[in-house]
Amino acid sequence: MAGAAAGPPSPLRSGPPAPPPVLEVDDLSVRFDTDDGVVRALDGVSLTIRSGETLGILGESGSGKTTLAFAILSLLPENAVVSGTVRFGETTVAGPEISGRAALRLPRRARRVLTAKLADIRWKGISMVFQGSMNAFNPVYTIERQIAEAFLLHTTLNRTEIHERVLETIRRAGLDPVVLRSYPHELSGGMKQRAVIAMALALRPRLVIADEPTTGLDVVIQARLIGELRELKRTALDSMIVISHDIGVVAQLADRVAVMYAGQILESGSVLEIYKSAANPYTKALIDSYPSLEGARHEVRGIPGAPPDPIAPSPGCPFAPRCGYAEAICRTTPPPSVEVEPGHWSACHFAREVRSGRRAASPAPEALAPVPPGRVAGPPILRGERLTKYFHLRGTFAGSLFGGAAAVPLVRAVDGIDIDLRAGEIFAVVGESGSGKTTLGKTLLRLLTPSGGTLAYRFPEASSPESPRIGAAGGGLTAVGDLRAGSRTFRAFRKDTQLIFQDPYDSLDPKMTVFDIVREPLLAYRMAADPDRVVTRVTEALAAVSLAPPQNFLDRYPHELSGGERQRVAAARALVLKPRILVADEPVSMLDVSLRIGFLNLLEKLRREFGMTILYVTHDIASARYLADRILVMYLGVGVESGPSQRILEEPLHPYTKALLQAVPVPTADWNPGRIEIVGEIGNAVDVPAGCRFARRCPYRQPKCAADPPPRQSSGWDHWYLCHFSPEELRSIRGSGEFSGSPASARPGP
Amino acid sequence: MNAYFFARKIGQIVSLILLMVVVLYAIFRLMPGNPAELFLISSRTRASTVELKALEAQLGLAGGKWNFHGFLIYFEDMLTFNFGYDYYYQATVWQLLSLALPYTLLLLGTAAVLSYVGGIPLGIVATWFRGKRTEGGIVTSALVLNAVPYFILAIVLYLYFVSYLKIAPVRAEFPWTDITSPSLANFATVVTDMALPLVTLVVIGAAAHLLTMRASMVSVLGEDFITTARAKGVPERSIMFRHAARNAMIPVSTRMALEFALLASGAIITEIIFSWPGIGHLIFQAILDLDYPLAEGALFLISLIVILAYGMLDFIHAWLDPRIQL
Repeated sequence: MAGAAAGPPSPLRSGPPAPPPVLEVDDLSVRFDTDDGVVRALDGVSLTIRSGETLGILGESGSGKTTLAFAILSLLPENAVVSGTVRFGETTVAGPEISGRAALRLPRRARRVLTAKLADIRWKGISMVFQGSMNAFNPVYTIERQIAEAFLLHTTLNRTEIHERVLETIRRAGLDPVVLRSYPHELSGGMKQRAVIAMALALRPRLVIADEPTTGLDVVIQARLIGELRELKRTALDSMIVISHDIGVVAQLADRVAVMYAGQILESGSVLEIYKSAANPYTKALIDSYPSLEGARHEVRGIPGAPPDPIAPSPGCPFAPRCGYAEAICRTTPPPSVEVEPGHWSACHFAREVRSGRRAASPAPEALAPVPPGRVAGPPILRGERLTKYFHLRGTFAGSLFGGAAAVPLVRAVDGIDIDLRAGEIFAVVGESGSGKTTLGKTLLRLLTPSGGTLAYRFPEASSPESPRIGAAGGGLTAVGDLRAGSRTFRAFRKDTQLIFQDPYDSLDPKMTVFDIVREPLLAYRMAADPDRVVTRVTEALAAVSLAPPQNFLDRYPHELSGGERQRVAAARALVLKPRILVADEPVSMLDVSLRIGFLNLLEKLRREFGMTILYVTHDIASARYLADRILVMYLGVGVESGPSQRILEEPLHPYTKALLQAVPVPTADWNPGRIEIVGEIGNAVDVPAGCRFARRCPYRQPKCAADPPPRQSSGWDHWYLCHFSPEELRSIRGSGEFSGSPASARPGP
Repeated sequence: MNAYFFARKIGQIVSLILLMVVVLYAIFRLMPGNPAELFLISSRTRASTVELKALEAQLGLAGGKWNFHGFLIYFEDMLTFNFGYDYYYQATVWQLLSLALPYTLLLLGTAAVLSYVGGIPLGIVATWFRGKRTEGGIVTSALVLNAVPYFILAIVLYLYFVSYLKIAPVRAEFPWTDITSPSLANFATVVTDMALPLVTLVVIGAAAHLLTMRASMVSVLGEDFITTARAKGVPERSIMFRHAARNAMIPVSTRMALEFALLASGAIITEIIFSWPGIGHLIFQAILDLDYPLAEGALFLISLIVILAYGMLDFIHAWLDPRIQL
């Protein structure tokens, strides 16, 4: 790896007529001494941020972006070894003598001076919006107390003055002052994130670091927050660093982008330059990893392999093992940083060739051209009619005593869904968190017993379950909704249907080997009598999910695997029984961007090779669009629109679908989150409105929307939506938001 | 805070008390021996069947140890706090208990408070020194102390300070008036008498609290909001005591009630070893004598204290954690 002295020349120093630098990072390297060895978190990073500028840092997990943020805030843990410096204005906030382990060895007085100096810079000079805003606030204190703390620590204001300033801060972030008296758990995710941003801006610092500011929020709220941050950028912010794995978010907020990989900056330049003419294979591959909406069904390829092991770095380019352009030189010599355009740097041996496209990548092994949508449409294999799933909340004693059953709060997680899975299709259920999509997935598999409606499954011809068949409309379907859990028919159904969970870190037992994990379903169905047969089936399942060679994985434990590999093991466990239906519940949301497409392509491959029917549950309409043949959009327990994915994308009719599509941040200049007209947040499924569930947030709502449940309207073959307005009316208001009558005025959410 | 919660809580406490009364009835009668025989043996060499029958009738034991009618009387008496007349001490059980209870409450209460007050801050201090030798020392000694049973430590302390050094009293003998009319001399007597039993209880109790608190602190310090506080420039001391400690107290407070029950059992053993004139001492003697009324009354009272302490837990919890709604 490049030594500290031979590191790439500061690639982010931009042209001369620039305002003074706010922050200068000069050849910063950070190593952590751990029990397993030395982890190289940052390797020769240099960058400059000038006043009024927003720098985006794009990288996957393990790229060192959070370590960089911690170094800037001088929050590195004590086992860090630092070389290079970080200067904030005139002050050195990180350097070999003062950071990490070195700080422990400082003489007592020097340490006290340093601590005082840093305490003064923190929040007042540099503040931070933390990743995972859910936990950024201390749960036991009110929001007011926590924002006031910043003023108490860094100003000499008295109580009344502080209260005034806190009020002003919270108003500037677009929040109702009542949130000040709330505890963090009483706020919704979006409100909490706004409060976190308000707190970061409270002292009007010169630099704000936003680490994944919108990750974990629903797409509509994310879009709204991006809009608000852009507004704050104009009014209240001096300079900002936005850290994200999402190229859309970075592109929408940043002026310049630095792409990080394995602790190094591989490319940097203006947003447009990077997006339109990337000069680094990694950037190109990362951009290609996003299923985009406008790129229609272009071939999206993931990046093969996994991010490098930070403990055993290779001598050459860190990306070389996964790079489609790599030559021998890439594996032996660290790439030089090349300025391909003024202000656009790329650390690659072939930067110019990659940028101009003169060099073509060898095809990535996992690239897979998806089938055009809607080609496969067998007979229905699983059908839910008026399917409901309610959960009872435990109410108050007095309420249950005097109010009768009506007073017991009911969560209508799934409320009358009609769904038809056709054999061999990939069907996507899309919705925000709280829409009931996960409950629907589990109810369809009878992991939850439906509260009402019918659920029917078509058993394969060979088996002959002795159970009542539902009428002519059922067409060979067997009702499974109210089967006894122990019955033979039910076990046959259970065996045919499997589930992949969202979190590959929690869904695999850490004390079992891969072999044990994948074998377990065979044991459960007493199919493990012949040991050789078991090994064969486990190996086959691992091979089917492209874990090659399978023998290498059998004896490993989950913690030895990367996130992508774990999710493949989870898929193998689902596949070992050769199910006919697979429910994948947000299978890629915990995976790194470069691995997501690989897994989605795997699902496609399973469908193609085994004829499996897949229900893909997701909040990401873009990936649903990429993978699925048909889409169902859910909102508060009901389906609001359903149809072939092509049609949903090209002609969304329901206002909610439109908002979901608009809310996907894309790295183009004309994306405007302000166009999203829906207001508020999804709320909960306890007090559902009598009329249209979406009415409270709908920009087009009319009096009848709140009063009457909307009818289901059809718009051509296989495409329906739930709304009072006809397709023509909805088409006429597309985009403009104008409608004859009185459009609802935007108001803050409840 | 709502009616449902209160009704549920009170229901739990009441059913726990009823269950305890039943268990107390059974547990003494499961012990071998007949109280009337034992009583007569202690007074004379041999008792006739007639005498035995007469005594059983007199003591309310007619019809044998297990007797439903007797149980009903016992049940009613327990719930009306009528613990009966003790045939060994020739006094009502209430009189005996009211003499002993203040001593037990004094020892148990002081020990409970001191072990929380000592153990929890020490747990925070141990976290403060995490990764250093100081922490290793604190944690190791806490682990050792936590593993020592109360009676071992009590016996060791007794042998060393009472038998060998002879600087501590053989038994606590201060009259209760020393507490009710405090003076410097009285206070000194009380402290010398109480020192050893108190040290036994506090040291072991505090070690347990220290370990729980430290484990809890370490996990809280990994939370995002601690990083936020650091980035805000909050000094490390405030991070420990203001931001982390209160969150770390939530799991610790769950264990508080559990520890209190342990402490109560420890107090009984300690009282016996140091001849502390409290309820533990009474219980011990009553069990040896098969003295049903006294044993039942004393254990009833101790269990009641522990159950009510459990009941308090939810309120402590709700006060610590705003996410909990009573």
